Amino acid sequence: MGEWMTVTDPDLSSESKNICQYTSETKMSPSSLYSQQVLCSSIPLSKNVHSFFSAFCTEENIEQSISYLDQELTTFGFPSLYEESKGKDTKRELNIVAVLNCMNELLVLQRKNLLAQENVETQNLKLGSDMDHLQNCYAKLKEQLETSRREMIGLQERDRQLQCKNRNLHQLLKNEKDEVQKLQNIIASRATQYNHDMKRKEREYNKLKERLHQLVMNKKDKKIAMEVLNYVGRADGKRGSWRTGKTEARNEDEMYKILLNDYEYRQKQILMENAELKKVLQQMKKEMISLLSPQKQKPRERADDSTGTVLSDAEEDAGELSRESLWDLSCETVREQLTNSIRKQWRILKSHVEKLDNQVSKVHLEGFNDEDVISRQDHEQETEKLELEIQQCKEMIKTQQQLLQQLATACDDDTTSLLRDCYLLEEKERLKEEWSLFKEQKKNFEKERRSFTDAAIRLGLERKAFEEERASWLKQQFLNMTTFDHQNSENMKLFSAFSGSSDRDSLTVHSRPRQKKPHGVSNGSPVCTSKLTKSLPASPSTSDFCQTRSCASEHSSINVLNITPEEPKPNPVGREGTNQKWSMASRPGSQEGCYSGCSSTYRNSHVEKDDLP
Amino acid sequence: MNFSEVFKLSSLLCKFSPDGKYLASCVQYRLVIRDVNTLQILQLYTCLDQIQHIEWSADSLFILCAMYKRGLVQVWSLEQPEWHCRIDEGSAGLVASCWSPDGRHILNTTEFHLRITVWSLCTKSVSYIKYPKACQQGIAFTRDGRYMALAERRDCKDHVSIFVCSDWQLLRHFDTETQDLAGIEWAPNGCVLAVWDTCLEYKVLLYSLDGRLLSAYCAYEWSLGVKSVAWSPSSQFLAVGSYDGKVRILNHVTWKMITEFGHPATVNNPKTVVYKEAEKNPQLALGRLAFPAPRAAASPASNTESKFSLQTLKPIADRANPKIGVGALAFSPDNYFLATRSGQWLRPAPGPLTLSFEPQCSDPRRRKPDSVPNAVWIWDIQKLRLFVVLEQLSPVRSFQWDPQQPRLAICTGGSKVYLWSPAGCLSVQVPGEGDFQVLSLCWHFSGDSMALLSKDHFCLCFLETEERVGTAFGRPGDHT
Repeated sequence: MGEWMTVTDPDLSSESKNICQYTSETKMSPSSLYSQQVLCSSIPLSKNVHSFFSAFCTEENIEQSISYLDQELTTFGFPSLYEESKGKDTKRELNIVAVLNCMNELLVLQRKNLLAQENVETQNLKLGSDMDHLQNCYAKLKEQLETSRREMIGLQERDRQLQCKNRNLHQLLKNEKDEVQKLQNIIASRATQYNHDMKRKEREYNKLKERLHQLVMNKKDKKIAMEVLNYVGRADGKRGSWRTGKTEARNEDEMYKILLNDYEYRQKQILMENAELKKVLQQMKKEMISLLSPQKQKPRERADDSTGTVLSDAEEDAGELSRESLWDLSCETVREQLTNSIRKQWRILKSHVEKLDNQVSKVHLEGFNDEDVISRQDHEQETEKLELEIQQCKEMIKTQQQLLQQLATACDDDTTSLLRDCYLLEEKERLKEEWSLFKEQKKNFEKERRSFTDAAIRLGLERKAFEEERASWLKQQFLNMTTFDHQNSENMKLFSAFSGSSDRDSLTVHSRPRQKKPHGVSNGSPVCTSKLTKSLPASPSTSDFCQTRSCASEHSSINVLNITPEEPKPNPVGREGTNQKWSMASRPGSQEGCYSGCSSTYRNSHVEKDDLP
Repeated sequence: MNFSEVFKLSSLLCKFSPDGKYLASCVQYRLVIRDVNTLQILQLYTCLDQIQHIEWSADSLFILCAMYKRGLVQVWSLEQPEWHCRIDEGSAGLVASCWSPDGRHILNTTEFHLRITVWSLCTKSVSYIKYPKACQQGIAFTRDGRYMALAERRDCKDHVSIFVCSDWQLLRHFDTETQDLAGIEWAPNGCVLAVWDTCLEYKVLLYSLDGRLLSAYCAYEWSLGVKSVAWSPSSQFLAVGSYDGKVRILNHVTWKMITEFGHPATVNNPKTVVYKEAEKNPQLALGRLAFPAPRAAASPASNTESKFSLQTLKPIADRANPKIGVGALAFSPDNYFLATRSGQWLRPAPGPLTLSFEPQCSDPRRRKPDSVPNAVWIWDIQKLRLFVVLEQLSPVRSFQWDPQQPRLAICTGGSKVYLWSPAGCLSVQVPGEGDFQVLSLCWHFSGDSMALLSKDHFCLCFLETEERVGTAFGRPGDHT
């Protein structure tokens, strides 16, 4: 065991080292880590195992090793490797089964251990990565902390700077204020100085002016004069008066007169204005009284003493003021009376209006209960509803518009389809007409065919007669001939065979119109052709049929000559051009009745098939 | 609409007589008096030098011609063509001359505003008024012609003297609370005098005839202030246009602001009609037609747009007297409309601005105003809102209301004259050889005709009489 431990220990240690390495290497992906780990763990283990086995047991020490193993195993609780000893002296023998069992169990154990180890390793890995992550987080947070600390320091610095600036600015402001104060003082002093100087200069100037005046006047300037042809009269026609005290007084009087006039005029105006205003006030008062008097009873019933007295006062006032003499009363008394009464009236009116307001609000409140008046909530709800409706309607309109648009586009399709339908109907009509025409033609053709068939039958009869004749003639010849020709006999055999088939062919042709089916043809044809060509398919097409015909024509060179050039035409049977072919086929009625009739029926059947569905 | 033939003119001196019978025009040193109806020359006076200023007396009997270079004023009588009067200011010089409302006195302002000499045509008497202030509008007469207000400067303080025009007696003399008075204007009723300060300070003061300060109004501080002031004909409103591109309307009862009209470059109100002049057929405009039919080049911009942007100019603000603010204001004679122009006519400035004018106000909403010199804004005074904007192709030179009805005539220095009335808007090409560039215009008091003045010529434009006005002013939609 100790050795085992020594063997495994380095492994484990290496592993742990590895892990340590990996954890330090943060950028490695877990998968690569795992694979590396696995590589590292598996390779040294196998080596160790090999070396261990090579070193443990040799040829010489088998016994010892077995006994050692046995001891070891028994101490681990495994059954003994040796068989049960029957005697003490007898040498115990190795129990192979037990060894094998032990081996197996050891292997199982080994596997289990490996698994556990693996689990542990993965867990270790996980933990390692977790650790990594946490370390990363830690580093990041540390960084963040650092940066924020730095920021804080920066902000503090800025704050300090700003405060410094602020202080400076305050200082500057103070300085400026001082400066302003100083400047103002300077301005003031300068202004006074300026005023003083101005005064001084003005005085000087005045002195100069005076002097100049004196000079100008003293010089007795001759130039200063007025030349007048003759003096004119005054505008008012009066003579100039002497200046005396009297005139002065008169002037004063006049001036005061003018002023008085002006003041009188203004007073008059003011009086007039006053009178107007008084009138308006009176009017207002009267109207107020008249307005309030019908409601006198009601407020009195409500028993408000003050209003009652006021009303009575108002009545008195009204009575007083109705007197005209009041107009002439001095302003003060009238004013007082008027203002007082107006104030009272106004108070009454105000209270009345307030009452009315209250009533109105009460009515409103009642209205809530009576639901006569729509409450605000209801109103809002209603408006909401209406808005919703409007929204819906709008949406409806929108969808309808869309639908209409779609319809407008779809309508085109419909119309086109309708038109197409129209065309189809027209075509149908046309086709019906054509169909009837066809039918008529068909009848005609059938008639013709019948006549043809009759003719064919007659022909066949004639041929029979001719054949018989020829047979008789050949018989005669044969009988006449001395030597027997084998070839001839074969030929003859064939001829005889063909004559039989041709008979039948004519018969089938005759029966075909009644069947009106190509299969009928194909069914009918093998009957006639089976004798001729065994390679024919079970359901031969028209070409086969024609081949048979051509084949037959080689032998019976009587009527086939006309048919062969027409052969490629019936082959391509398609929808297109059936009518034309039909018309073409309808023409050669006088040619070879048998064949043309046959082909016509055939094609006819095709046309029918197309039109029926 | 008919046009007279073109007459020669110099220095844009062409005036209708107050009674509407005559038309005075100057050609170099000649004064031509024509009959308004026939345009025949009635009188032809020859002055001593090139005339620089003419003015009709209120009774249309006399006309004065001032030759500032020579310090001379010549007066002519229509009734007596042989009558003549020559006033020589001598070495004192002359910078302004005007009639007193009675038409018998002439007020001459000497150089350096040393004094104002009042010459009488009735007597030999000469009056002197000392210390007149050199300012934008220093003399104002009441409409009835009774009183004259005069801005004065004494002891470095502004004063206003009110004289009785009949005998030039000083009625009132009071100092005003202004830094540097810029102008004075009587209300049409002659009872209130509006006084405004220089553009450096926004200050409008209202004085009664007897010299009491009725009210003082200041819209904002530290920024350039009042640019123009106009009374409504009813004396009810005082419109104050300022450098911030706004017009503020003061009422006559409390003298407080009723509303302010901004002049933004985008018109947002969809109710406002914007007429934008569009050149329809340049071929026609280039190739002169002998008698082109009155053609509407102005078409209303589509009202469906909620916003309409006007063409703006970035004004040069780093120079004195920047071309910004509301410089022209005029109420229609019926008080219903106020026409304004924001920004002045100016040539585009080359080069970028190095300095920008920023009002030193604490209110951030008050921004540097845009200059919209091509547009005339017409405001509805009844509803106190913008009514119509007329955007022309070129900057508006001047506009003037028809004295009889709400009808505004505008000229832009082009060959067209534009008319607006509540019924619509139209432009008329001035016929004649060459390009008649209408630089100025003045209405006849009847509103039937107006004189169109170009640099060297003038012509009269006769408008249709009442019954035909309807066809002349089509609906806005007609002008397509």
